[in-house]
Amino acid sequence: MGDPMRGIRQENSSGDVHIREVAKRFGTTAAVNKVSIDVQNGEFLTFLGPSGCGKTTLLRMVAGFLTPDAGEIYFGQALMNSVPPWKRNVGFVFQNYALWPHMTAGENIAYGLKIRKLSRREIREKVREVLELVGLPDIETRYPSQLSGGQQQRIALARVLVLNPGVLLMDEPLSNLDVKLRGQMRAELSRLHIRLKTTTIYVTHDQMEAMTMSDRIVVMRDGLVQQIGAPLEIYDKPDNVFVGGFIGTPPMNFVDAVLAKEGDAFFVQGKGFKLRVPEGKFKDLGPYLGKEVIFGIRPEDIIDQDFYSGEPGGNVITAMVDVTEPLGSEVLLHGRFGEASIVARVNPGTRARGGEEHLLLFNMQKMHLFHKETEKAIEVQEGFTVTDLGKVKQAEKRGFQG
Amino acid sequence: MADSLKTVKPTRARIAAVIRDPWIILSLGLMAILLFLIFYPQLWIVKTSMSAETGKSLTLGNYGRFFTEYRFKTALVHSAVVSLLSLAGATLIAVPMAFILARYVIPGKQFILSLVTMSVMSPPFLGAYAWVILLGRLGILSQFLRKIGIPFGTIVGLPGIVWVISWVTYPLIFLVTYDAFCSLDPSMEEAGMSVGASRLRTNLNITLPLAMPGIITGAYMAAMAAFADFGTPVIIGGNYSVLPVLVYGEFLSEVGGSYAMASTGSVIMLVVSTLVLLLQRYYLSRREYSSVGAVRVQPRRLSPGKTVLALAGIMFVILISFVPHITVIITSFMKWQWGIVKPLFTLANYAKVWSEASKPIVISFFIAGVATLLDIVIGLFIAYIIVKKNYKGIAPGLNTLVMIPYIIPGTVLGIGFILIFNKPPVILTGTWAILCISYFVRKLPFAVKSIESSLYQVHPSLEEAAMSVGASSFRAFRDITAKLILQGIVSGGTMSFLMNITEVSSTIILYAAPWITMTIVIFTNAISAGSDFGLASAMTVVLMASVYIPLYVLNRLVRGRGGVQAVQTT
Amino acid sequence: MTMKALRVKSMVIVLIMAALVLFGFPVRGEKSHEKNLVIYTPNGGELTGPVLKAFKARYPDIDVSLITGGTAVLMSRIRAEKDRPLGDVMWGGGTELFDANDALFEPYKSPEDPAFAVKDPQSRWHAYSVLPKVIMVNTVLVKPSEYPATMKDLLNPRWGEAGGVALSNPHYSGTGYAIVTALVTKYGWDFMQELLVNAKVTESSDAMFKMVREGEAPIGFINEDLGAKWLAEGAPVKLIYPKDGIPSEVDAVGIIKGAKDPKAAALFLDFVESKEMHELMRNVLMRRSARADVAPPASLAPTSELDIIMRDARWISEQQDKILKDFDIRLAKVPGILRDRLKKK
Repeated sequence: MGDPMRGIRQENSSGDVHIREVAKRFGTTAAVNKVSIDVQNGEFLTFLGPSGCGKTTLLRMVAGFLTPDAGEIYFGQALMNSVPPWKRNVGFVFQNYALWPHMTAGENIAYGLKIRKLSRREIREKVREVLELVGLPDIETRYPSQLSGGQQQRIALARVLVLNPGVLLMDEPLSNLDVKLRGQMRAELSRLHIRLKTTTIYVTHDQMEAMTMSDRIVVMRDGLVQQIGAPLEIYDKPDNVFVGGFIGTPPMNFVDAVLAKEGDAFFVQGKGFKLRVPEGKFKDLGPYLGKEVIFGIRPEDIIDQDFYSGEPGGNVITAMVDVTEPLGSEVLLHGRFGEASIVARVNPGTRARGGEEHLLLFNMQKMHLFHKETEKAIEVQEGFTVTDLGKVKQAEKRGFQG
Repeated sequence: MADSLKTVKPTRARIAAVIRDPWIILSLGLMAILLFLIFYPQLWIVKTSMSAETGKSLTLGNYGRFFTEYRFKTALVHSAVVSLLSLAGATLIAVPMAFILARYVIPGKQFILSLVTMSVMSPPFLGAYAWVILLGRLGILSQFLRKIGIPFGTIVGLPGIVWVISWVTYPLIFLVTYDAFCSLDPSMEEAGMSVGASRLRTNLNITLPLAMPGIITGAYMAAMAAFADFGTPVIIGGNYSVLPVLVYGEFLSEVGGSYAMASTGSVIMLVVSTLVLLLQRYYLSRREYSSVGAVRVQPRRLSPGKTVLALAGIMFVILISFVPHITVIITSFMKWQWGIVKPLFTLANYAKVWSEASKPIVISFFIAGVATLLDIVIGLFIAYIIVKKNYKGIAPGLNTLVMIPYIIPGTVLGIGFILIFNKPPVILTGTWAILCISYFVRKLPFAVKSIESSLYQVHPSLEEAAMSVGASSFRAFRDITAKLILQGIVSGGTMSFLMNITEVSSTIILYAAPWITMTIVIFTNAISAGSDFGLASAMTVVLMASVYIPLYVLNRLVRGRGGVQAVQTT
Repeated sequence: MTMKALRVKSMVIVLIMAALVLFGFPVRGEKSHEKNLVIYTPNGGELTGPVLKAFKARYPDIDVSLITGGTAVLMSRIRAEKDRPLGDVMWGGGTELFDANDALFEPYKSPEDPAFAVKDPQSRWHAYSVLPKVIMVNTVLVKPSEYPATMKDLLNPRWGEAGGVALSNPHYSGTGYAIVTALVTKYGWDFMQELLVNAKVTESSDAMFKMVREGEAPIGFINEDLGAKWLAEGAPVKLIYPKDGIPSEVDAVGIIKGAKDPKAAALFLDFVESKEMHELMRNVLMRRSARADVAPPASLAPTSELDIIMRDARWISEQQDKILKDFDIRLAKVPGILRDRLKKK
């Protein structure tokens, strides 16, 4: 009797979603261009990308609000392309919450149940249950306009959770909240997902949300998938310049260089610098020798030489410091060498000052190399392990603070 | 790359999808109805305008006549002059007043605003006749002016037409401009002053240009109202002939009129109003600033002296715009015989309305009511399709089609209807239905646009949310969107009804006994030299009551419903 | 199931809408009453009221519906309805208009015909009243010493300077057409040209009448009966019967061709043309009857004393287009003539 799906033909029972070569265009622009993604049952998957990358379009096609121009979307084995949204058993959480202003919080939640023709008692019970689940037991009779942003968001969530959807779709659900609340809700969404294990597709442009909540991330740009992978995998091994630059704040530094070889050692070389590529990091650099490449390094992998206590030696360059931004726990150092501009995340005790030169050490173990034309990453040797760079002199750090 | 995305959906599936979607069928049905009611009559007018007096071949000879014959040429020029001067007059009244009300603390602002809104709904003929009584050659005020030494002649003629139309149309400009002034982002002006512009300079160089799109929109409506006005020139025009009157005369002449020339004039009117619309659109498309800020401008305080001055100015404007109403109430209690007024107080005019003309009141309410109902129901569907459905060709087609009546002067619409409905397959001339359909068509743009704007206020995600919890598209529309826009529908519907009940220019062409409306009673009695103007006055008072009471009730209703926030914008 | 039901419901709505718009409205006149008389008339309630009351008393089983409107409106309606007439009788409208539309009316020999001096040789129209068009001055604006005595006096440039001679455009006004054709018959087109230089041309006869009454023009033309009524009510006007001739129209009654109830129509025509009803009309409207045996209203000069300008009926009906064109040509010349005069000064 208590089946919430009564009155509605349930088209998907399993929670896996398969997106096959899906394309959608608006006018002359291809919003989504032949995208294929497999979402596992119970997984929390995030579409991440800048605005206009097609992530929301793709999500709306999964929900059924848009029909793909080409390609297929399957829920389990079932082809969904021509199934209208109301038969897909998905829960959609909107950026603006989309609570119906003329219904109370309780009525908002009960609406889907009413459509499923549940008895009044069942509805009342379920509404109470789900309100408890989202931690708002006492606001059933209030109108959306009387609720705070965080409360509205929870009601919007409750409204779909009460129906026990096969797939939960969320379109930037936290972007209208203030920073503090966003942090709370992030944790809460993660908790809910662990508890309910509902397959979730989450759209965001906020890499922090993506990194902290997702099982896997799909990075998108211009309607194309750039990379699919677990958060750390994407951070450590970006497939291309875009992914490297998009993820991480401040973003990865990119410097144009030429690959050179002296003896057995490879170097990335450019105006005013010559940095050694660690042995065995890359699979095969031979074909790139003498060619232009893009050398990438994250700000945290550039170290203030003053704080380095390890072996002296190469991979140090003299940079002209433009400006330093003390952030408390660290200092962002904006500097130049040759024709390149870089940002380094250095020790807060640094003596570097704007307008002066300073020595910076590059942790080349963590370097990235990209093909100049395709901007694709040059393949890293399987099993290459990053060795510890050495100890930073703690005593001196204290000394500089005085 | 573009080609690689070409869809290869089988046609059969496509057709199936079309048939499965009831909205598509509805759209096509509505399209067909609108084509028949809006486009087809205009086509007939064009065809009739090209018909020769003898023979069946098409000719442009009538256009040649139009541009060479004296009376047509002058009427065209006169119409242009009337439109431009009235527009200037109305703008001069409306814009400064809107600015003062929007930017300064004026006591009784709400009351003033509702008075101006009321004067939009000025019953027809009223203004013109009142001003003849007051400022005609032998008018009460004219004689007084001459007594105190001001050599005032008469207002009848061009000055009268311009004067009356200015006062009738200024609220159109005022209401739009007021909104524009209110919603300008205050930081724009603050920026102006911060770079050293004085307040006056800021107003002239920043505020006014930013409000210009609003002013132009209002100005267009006012100019078109002036261009198509029939009642005012008939009463106060003297021998100053204008196009709508000429076309009417040509269509219903006792002597040498011809459908062909009336149609030619109609086409010219259509062309002129289309050109002006295109001009307005062109202007607006080039300065879509959308500088509407979320922050509303905080009205500034004025010194007590200046407040009194501003209030006096506003009161003067309000007073002038209500002079006709006051005059007609007075004349409705005077005794009239053969068109001559007697200085005798009487209730006879109202007794006559009751005994002889009570049926037109019922008929007016009935026809206007049915037309409004049609406007709301069909308007709702059309607006919904335009806003929510992206059907290729159909949605923009409907959008264009539905706006056409906006540029069709009432006289022209009436003529078109006569031309197509006086023969099989659908004969409607002489029935109430033809009036009803004409009202429906004339006010459809207003209904659609007002519903459309409330629909735009309802974020699409609200309906999608309903669909994602299992509501079909129809049910989502019914449970969510329709409920949320109810208020918009009620106010849009009321406005349509009020405009319908005061409609004159197509009614005079289309009406037929026994389907006499209130406006026709007023028209026939006000216009004919020997007939009973007392009856016209009394009927006008009844019409005013029929208009202002619903307007008042609506105002109260809308204000009283502040409890639930009806629209959600993000 | 709900979806299907909704879809069906929506289709039904569409169909009802379409049906409502196109076919559903009841079309008037479909149900025909055995004795149902539809009368088209430009006459007002002060005449139709008492006449219909008397008719009702005489023929209680005939239902009468009255359709009132301007003469032109009614005539174009009859023209539009000619394949499917909805009216039975046209009561009022100038004989010229009947002549111009003679195909729309049914010949009928009425027992009252012999009493009339003016007759339609084809018996399609039956004369009703005589409407001389006289000169009216506004007494506030014009001193008695300045009153014109003849039509020729209207050419005095003084009138042009004082505000113009109100004259309704013959294109749109039957009264205007009667005046213009009479004056052209009497004095020719050059006279008309001169008059137009002095004139204020209005789009309707009502506007012409009102202009003089309200003082917008000092002088103009008026139908004698309305002028007499205004005089009686104390309006500041004076009627002048020009010594050199008076334009005049006769208005008439006719049975519409294809009338649904021709018998009742004939009964009504005979009734309204009877001596009794003509006397009623004279008393109510202060109008001259077309019947030889009904005296004019007491306040008006005997018909025999009026110098009516006789017009050629064939000329005014057959040459209408040319007359109107000639009028237009002369009207168009007026601004130029006025400019020349200014230059000479």
